[in-house]
Amino acid sequence: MRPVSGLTLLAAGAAILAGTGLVFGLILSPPDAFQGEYVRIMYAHVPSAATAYLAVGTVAVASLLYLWKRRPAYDRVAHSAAEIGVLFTGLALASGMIWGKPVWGTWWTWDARLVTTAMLFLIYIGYLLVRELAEDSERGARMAAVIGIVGALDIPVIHYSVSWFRTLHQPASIVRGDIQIAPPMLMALMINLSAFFILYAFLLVLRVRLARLEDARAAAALGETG
Amino acid sequence: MNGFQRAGAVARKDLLLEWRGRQTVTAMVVFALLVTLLLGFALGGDSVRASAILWIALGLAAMLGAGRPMLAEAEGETLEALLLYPGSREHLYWGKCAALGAMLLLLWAALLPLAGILFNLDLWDRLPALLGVGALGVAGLAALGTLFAALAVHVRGRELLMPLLLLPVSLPVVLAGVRLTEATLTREAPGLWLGLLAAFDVLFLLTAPLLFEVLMEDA
Amino acid sequence: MTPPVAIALAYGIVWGGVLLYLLRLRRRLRSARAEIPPATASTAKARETLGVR
Repeated sequence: MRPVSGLTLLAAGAAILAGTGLVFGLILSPPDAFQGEYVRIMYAHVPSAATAYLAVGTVAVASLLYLWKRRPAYDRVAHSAAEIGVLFTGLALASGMIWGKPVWGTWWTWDARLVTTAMLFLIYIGYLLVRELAEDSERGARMAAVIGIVGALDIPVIHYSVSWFRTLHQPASIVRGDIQIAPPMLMALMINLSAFFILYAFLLVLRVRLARLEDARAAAALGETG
Repeated sequence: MNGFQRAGAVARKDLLLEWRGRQTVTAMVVFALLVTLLLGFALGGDSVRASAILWIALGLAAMLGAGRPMLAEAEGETLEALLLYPGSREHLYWGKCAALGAMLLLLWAALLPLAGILFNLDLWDRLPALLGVGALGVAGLAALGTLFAALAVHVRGRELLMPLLLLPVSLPVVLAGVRLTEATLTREAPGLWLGLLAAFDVLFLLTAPLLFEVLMEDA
Repeated sequence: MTPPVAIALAYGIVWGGVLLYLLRLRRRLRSARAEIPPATASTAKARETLGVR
């Protein structure tokens, strides 16, 4: 028998928080005065988006550390976070559309946050693709680190350019974030946010472990010893 | 030789090579013309659409041509020789960035009168301001284009990478360029866009050389 | 879309996506572990440090 590991604790924490979050989000929190029951989608959408941005931050920090220290461990973290980031960006986009359809009456609106998130999605798909296509993995790690840093630097600029591009010419569309949040709703949102963050940590640890195994496998295939 | 001279030598070499073949610039101009005509025809030739069409054409053409000079070097196996020269790799970046910027600015200068004719714009007395806007945008495109060109050299399926990376990342350049060009044409105040585009240029002109060195460690 | 449909769709996609990713991750982990040959010293050490049985 193995002792209870940190990973098991993370998994248990994520599961418990996610369960609590579902109960709060779907049952205990009140319907919104304007959006009605649709507001419950927020408790899945906002944490997904927040986790996506957290992952982007992880990629940037781990990439910087990798370029500085050149330890493969940092690169494995960056790669893993990028993959999980793409997942959560995709989920945030999908749930955002499902939220937008009943509330705004359209699947997609040219809102700054939506377009920025879509750009983020594309940049980090490029990041993953570069790793796939690189001639060797060390070089791929360096290239990916460059893209991870450029992408993270670019995101605020993209956000401002996209929001000004629309708002300077037409009145701002409905801004979801400005809705006054009632305490029970905030509670549900916070629980779900923490659930997603712990889930992110769990997935990241698991994915880094996989990256380590894959590196070990590649090293074994090369016949290296020691 | 100091850094400026070294960067200047690299830029001169790139531009001289380009001048002898004129392939990249020709391809970029023809492609930009094609995009302008297609978009102009499909969207209608309203003068309000001109600046958006122009900047999309410029961005797409940059995507097409940015990787070419470096790729030619890699194919001719002269990139290694270039890297053997003593001195900082940063100067290599500055030279290549300047050469790409010059080509893109030439393209922009060629697109402007064309747009004036196609979209019936009255731009002749505003030409200096328009060229200035173009230079600001081109600086950002060249800064990132040079960086991604260095990246694409060692990737399978090189042609695929440049559009995938350069287009989303340089979105602010295109958006700011569109609004600044519109503001120049209608004589409005440029507002925050000038600051945004300048900030983008400074941000990536400062970071890209450092990242370029990382990519060029063992080309 | 009625509220229950939209909510079910959103939650289904988000949590379904996460669970699918988790399952895929576990499958990849299992196959990666199985494919590391125990023969060489380096892999034995790697197995030990990685906690692979």
